[in-house]
Amino acid sequence: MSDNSLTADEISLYDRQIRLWGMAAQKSLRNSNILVINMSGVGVEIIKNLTLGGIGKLTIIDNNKLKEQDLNCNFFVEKDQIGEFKVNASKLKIQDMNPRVKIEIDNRNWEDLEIEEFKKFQIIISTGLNSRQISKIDGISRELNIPMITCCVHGINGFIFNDLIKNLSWIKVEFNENREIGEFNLVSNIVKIDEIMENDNKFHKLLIENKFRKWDELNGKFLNLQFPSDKKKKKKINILLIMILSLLDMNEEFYGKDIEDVVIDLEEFKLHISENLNKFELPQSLIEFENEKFDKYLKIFIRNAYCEYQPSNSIIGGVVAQDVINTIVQKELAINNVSILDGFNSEMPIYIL
Amino acid sequence: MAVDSYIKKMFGEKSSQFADAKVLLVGAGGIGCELLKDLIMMNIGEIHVLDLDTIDLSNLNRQFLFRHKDIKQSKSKTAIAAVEFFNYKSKLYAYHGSVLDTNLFPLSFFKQFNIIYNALDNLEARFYMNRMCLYLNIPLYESGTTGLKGQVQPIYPYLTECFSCVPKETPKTFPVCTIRSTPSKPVHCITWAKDFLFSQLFSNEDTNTQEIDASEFTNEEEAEASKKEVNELADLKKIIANEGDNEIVIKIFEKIFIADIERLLKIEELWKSREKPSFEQIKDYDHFFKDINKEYLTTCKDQSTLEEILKTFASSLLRLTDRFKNNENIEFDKDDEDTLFFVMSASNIRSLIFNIPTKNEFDVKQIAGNIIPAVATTNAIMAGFSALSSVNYFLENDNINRVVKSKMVFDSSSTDKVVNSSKLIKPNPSCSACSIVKGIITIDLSSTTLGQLRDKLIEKYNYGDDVEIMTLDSRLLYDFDLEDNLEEKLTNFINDQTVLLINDSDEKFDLIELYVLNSQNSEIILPELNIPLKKIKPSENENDENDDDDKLLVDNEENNDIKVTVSLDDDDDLVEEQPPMKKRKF
Repeated sequence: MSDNSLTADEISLYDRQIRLWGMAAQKSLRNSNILVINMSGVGVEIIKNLTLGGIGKLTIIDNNKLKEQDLNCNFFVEKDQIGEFKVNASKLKIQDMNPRVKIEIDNRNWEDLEIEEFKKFQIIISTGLNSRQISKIDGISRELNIPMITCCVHGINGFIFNDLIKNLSWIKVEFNENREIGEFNLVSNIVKIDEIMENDNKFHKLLIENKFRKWDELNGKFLNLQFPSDKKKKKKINILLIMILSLLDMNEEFYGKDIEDVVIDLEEFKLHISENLNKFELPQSLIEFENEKFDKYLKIFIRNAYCEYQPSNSIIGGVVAQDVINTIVQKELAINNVSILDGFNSEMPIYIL
Repeated sequence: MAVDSYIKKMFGEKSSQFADAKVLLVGAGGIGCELLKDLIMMNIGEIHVLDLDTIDLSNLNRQFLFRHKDIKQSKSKTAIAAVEFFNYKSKLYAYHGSVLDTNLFPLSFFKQFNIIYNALDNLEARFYMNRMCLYLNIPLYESGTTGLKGQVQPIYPYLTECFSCVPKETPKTFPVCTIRSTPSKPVHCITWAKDFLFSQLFSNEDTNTQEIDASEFTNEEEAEASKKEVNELADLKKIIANEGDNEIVIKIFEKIFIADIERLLKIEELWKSREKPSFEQIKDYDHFFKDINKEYLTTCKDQSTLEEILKTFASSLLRLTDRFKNNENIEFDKDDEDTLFFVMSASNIRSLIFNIPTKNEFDVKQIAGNIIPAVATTNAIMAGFSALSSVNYFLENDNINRVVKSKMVFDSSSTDKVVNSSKLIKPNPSCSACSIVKGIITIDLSSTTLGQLRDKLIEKYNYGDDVEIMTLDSRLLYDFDLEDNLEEKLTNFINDQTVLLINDSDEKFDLIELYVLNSQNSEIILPELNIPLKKIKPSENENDENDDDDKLLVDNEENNDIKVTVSLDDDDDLVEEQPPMKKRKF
């Protein structure tokens, strides 16, 4: 079955995206098996995008029950389902979007799964995890050699971390006769160069090998290579990166809690900020705790922490789902390896950590 | 805990700014469905959704509010019904109709909104909404996607670049002679089959009115040949009306693929540096026309053999002929199989003659139907940025601060960012749309004289001496030489929705543009306008009070390196999107 070509119906339904990535890519999508851990607001968006796109099988695992606050960031549920497991409450409406996709739900705590249970998946996506949990799922992903993507939304801000281990993808770039096999950037190499013609213009198609780092081994090496001086670091490194990494380092687990009960201990938080500045070899002066402007920024950041805000869900969910699709069809470059959504400035820089 | 717990925590008492707002969403397609969902979950008070389109199967890969059973239903109405179960705070209204329809949507309709979000798929409606927002001074959040590319542009009238400030790339067109005489690519043959052959044979327009412009051809002989082709095609239309099936196919085929090509072959100059067309690949055509019928071959979409190409040509021609004889008004539509197959097979026959690769149905449909790739993810991302960027509107109290905080966002192919963000740019001082300050005048045309209007204008805007009043189409209604007109009622000159241009006779203030809303028994109500001084040099057109803001806004000239290409579409056909004058004439 899985090797059959696309049916006429499938070609008509997926017409507009087949014109983007081709029939073969659509077939690879149909044969894919994806896991989504935690059905947060951004999880809902990822699930929507992947289901519409026509992946083969989607498994969603979350042991949380539906709360009233979820109604403002989950468009698969209704008010009278409050109290049911989130995944059970959502399944029908997810399936309804695209009957061709096989939807499986699991309402256990993902941390209780046996490692064998992850084996069947091609990509593991997780949302709303803290540092300890990201380290755990990344460890599983490395052990089984399965690429993983994790992300979260904190109000108007967001965060994505990709550990796709080592992957290959094709990109189309302008023709340049001096281009050679070898280094593409700090973390990827060109392994093959093809010439193509499109509308009388010559292009290069490059096969890029991308190498990713484990969550536990992130460090400041690449940041220092890219931005050697403190001045450069101050200019180029958005402090939101450190803010979010430090938020994830908080001891308490917040995903699934009533938002009224999410209280960030400022002393602990500031400690994590200092630790992270050290860890990534960044000057402590990058964040000026005593500065009034920073204080105001900090207050807004804290208010936004662990809030699931729809516009941010939509952006992060779109970017993550496209990275998943790109990984499956081996096209375009996925984020390597961290991106943040800065909702104050509508920016999404990518950092190599 | 409540439905809006997150929003309450994030925005505190400013949450009510969202609840009190009334917004318009223009378009319920790819970006529209996403944006509607986002706006609802931002708990916007009132959301009005407008779209003229109905749902297609090929929408369902991304327009997540629609299902198979909704095909052919109104997009705006289906979308509103689909979101109702997860809508807790917003009042929703759907309109099925074209935004350009001034009967359905007069300017007064747009006036009620705080913000307008564009989620459109064509340039014409975008330019139109841009103008409406200029008249009404309403912030416009403009967005668009094409495949993995997209952009969001917040437009604050007269403070930032408007949609017309930067010229937009128009779809590529080809020289007439390439299409008619010397094709070298599949797209040339497809354009010929669709825009020339198909429309000449089946369009109801009188073919004699289509004139050939000799200057568009490289030599006179060629122009002459083209003229003959057109005249003879008119004769073929008669064949279609009067002859039997076999005669129709053979006669039309031999005329357009044999006689016309032979005529071109005689113009030696054309083939000095080009490969000559040849009949070699189609020489057995009469063999395949022996048993023709109206049923398509099952493999006709492949177009991989001469048989598939010729038989598809014959079947589609006969089917279209039948429809033509039934007085059906046939227009090319990529989803109308007969028209698509005719264009596909005719262009492939021409390709065989000119030794150009043939194309299958999937490819021809894309080129002839101007299909633009579209995916759910890009739409979600750009809708998300449009919604997120507009948060500034609700949190800030005035447009100056909103402008400073808002960003334009567009796709990035660089590895150091997911999207490009740039500060909003000042308006282009020579923009055809926003360089003239605009507003609405409410007036009772039947009871007001031109003189009363003139006096009121002078009083309101402090003109030093006198004004000149014109219509947008350059009809002069009043200047000091036309004093006689002053006593006349305005109904003698203008109607509801006429646009007036007011010029300062002293040449001190710049021109202004007033959109007339006729309202019975109304006093003359003139808009509050900040009329700039007459532009002499570009540097002198600033308002003094804006000096401080200049530092925050990025200047136009400094940003020339950022090239903005606009993604037109998330949806389907481009065909109707070109402004009428851009359409190529044959």
